[in-house]
Amino acid sequence: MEFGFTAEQLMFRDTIYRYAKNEIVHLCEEADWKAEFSHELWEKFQCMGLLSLPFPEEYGGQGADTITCTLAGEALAHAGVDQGHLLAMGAHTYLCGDTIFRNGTEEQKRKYIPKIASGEWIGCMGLTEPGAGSDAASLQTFAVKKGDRWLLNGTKTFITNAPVADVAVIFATVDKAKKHKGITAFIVEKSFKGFSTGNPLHKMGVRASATSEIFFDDCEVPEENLLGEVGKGFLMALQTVEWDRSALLGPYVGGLRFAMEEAARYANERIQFGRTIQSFQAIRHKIADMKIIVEACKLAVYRVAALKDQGQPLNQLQASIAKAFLGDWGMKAASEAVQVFGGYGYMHEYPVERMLRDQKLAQIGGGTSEIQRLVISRLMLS
Amino acid sequence: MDYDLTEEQKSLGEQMRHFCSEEIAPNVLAVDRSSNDEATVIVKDNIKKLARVGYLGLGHEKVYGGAEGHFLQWAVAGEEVATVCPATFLAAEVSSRLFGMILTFFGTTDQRKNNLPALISGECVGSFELAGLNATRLKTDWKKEQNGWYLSGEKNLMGNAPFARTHMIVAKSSGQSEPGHEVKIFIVKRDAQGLTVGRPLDKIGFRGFPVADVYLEKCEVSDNAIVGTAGGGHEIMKCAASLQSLVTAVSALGTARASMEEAIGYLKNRKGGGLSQSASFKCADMMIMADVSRLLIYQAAWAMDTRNPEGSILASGAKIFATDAANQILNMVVELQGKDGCIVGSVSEKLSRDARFCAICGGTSEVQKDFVGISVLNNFRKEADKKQV
Repeated sequence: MEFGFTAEQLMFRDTIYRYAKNEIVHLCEEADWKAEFSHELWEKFQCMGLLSLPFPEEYGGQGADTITCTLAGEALAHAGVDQGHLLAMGAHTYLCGDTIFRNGTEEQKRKYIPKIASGEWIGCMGLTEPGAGSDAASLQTFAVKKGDRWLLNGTKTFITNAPVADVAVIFATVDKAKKHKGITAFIVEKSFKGFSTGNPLHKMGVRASATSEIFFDDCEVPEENLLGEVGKGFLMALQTVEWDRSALLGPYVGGLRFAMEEAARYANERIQFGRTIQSFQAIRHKIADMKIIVEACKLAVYRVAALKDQGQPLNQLQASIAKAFLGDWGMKAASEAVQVFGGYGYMHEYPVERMLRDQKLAQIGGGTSEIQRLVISRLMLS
Repeated sequence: MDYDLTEEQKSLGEQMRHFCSEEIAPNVLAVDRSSNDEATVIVKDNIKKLARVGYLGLGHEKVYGGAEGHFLQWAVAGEEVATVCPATFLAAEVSSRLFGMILTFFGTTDQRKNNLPALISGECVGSFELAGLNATRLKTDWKKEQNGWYLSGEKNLMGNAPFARTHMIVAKSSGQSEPGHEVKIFIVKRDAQGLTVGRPLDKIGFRGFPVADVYLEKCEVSDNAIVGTAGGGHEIMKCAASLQSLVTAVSALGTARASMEEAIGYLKNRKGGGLSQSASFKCADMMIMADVSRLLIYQAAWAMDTRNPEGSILASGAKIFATDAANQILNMVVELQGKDGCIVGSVSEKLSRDARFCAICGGTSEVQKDFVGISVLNNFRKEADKKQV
């Protein structure tokens, strides 16, 4: 057992952290305030190859393992990059990119992965619908084969990156009666006839992440864009969603770390009643609680990454534990961070305010905390 | 980052699980329900049994009968003992890991030679306090006079005191002393003049693990009673505090795990239809908290093994979380079992009392959080203000 990172990983982490502090962080506050995805910031991700990490070099990637990918997300957030752009990065690289990479034909990989790795094209993944959230298997977007193409009809919602995406991995059904056994995945380009997106949705947090509905109106998808096999999409979706319970949690670990450190710095300087507020035991205890939660979140999240690196794409128990813990206990920590700042913690100018709004998503997106508990208890009691 | 146990560690865990279920488990409820004296007899015997399989020697030098090894390996083995009988676990740990490891890490050759073999063989037992260690709150003073050292004061929650052959006493200077040398740790034999062991405490939990207060009145000790060289008491005390944290954290995890196994068995066997959602969500919460407790404990053990500078903070954090988790888990288990969880003599009833006790001993969460909070805050002072805690 080893709970430290290699010298190489640490050097990588420090490089990303410094780069983020110097080049990226100053763009975040305004983007979040305006709820606008920043293409300028996206270019900063591109420059450092951050969108290409997990893909093999031959496809334009860096061949990085999951632990390193998670570390990159953590380092960026630890430096102060907002969860909105980091969610955009995660959805693009893993939810879209990795799903194509893991399930695609050679032609599909060669066509799409290099563009996704470079960030030239932005990717998204559409599973959720207005009527199918936690009950994802009940999705209704219908796909029917007509000659050499598929026609898709339906609506997706809450899709990260949809307003700015060039390509999407879409889960539809070919037979609603077959429930999850009818679910089939497709690679859909925004230029395909019948594809359109809605207006950006206004969110509590991750505001710089562009989110919207996707509308399929007899959307024409060429048959070579079928991803994997007909009726085999559900297992694919489970693996895709496990990224929401591993690499995409790296930024939340970093965000909690950043919040704790900001709170500690503030407590060391803020004077009330003639003394720094860190001298009050209640404040010290909040910092202690945050520290324990940060360590625990880190351990739980990297464990899933380590299991994936051992070649196991599905690790339901550990992934659900990581997601539920980071969502629920992380929310407590984020709230305590704001509390340390008092009134200032309630103001937009202070990053902890944004962090609390961002943190709420961890209890919901990628499987709610309740769904995680369903998964865990089912595994425990079977 | 590598979360895998080695084959050796896994097989040690399995061995201990098997051993404990055969040799220790049959007497667990008797340990809890008997009088202090009767329970102590069983626990003493359990310690001897643990010695025979080499458990007490984990981490100690081979030359004294030890099995070498690291804290991580010990954590795996210890969890099995703590799951079966928390009282036996703490009694064994106070002697071999608190008293014993202080000697292995800091003792002189003579101190190790004179104490460790008997401790590791289970022939006799050492006592150490389970009150939180803090230099300013020590109630026992040492005083150096012409003809020797004198200890005066009171030690609370001395684990194993009622049946220990030797006590390890942490004391502070009664007056002026060189800075950094205020704290010293002494090895004191039970029959030393001026040392009185109080009555065994009738505790809420971990019954059978004998604990008493120890009173010292000008108790005279020689130079070679001082652990290690005559300096560096603070460093030893800091290590001892980490050991307390690690040991009580594992005791909490064992308590939690035993109750979860009990609850899951109960839920699977009960008649009357499927499980309510609130019941299954409680199961999930238990799993989350116990699993995270284990991760924190393993990380703390690894940190101690690798001399990581954050070792003491991580040990403290693991203790805070694991003991709080154990209490929450026991609350849920008793709730899940309804009436059956409230009957005196049931496994859950006993374990709830055990969980309550282990949160207090080894330094309460309030004190531990002071330590963790201050340590983190110190790392984020402006350079000009940085002070050592």
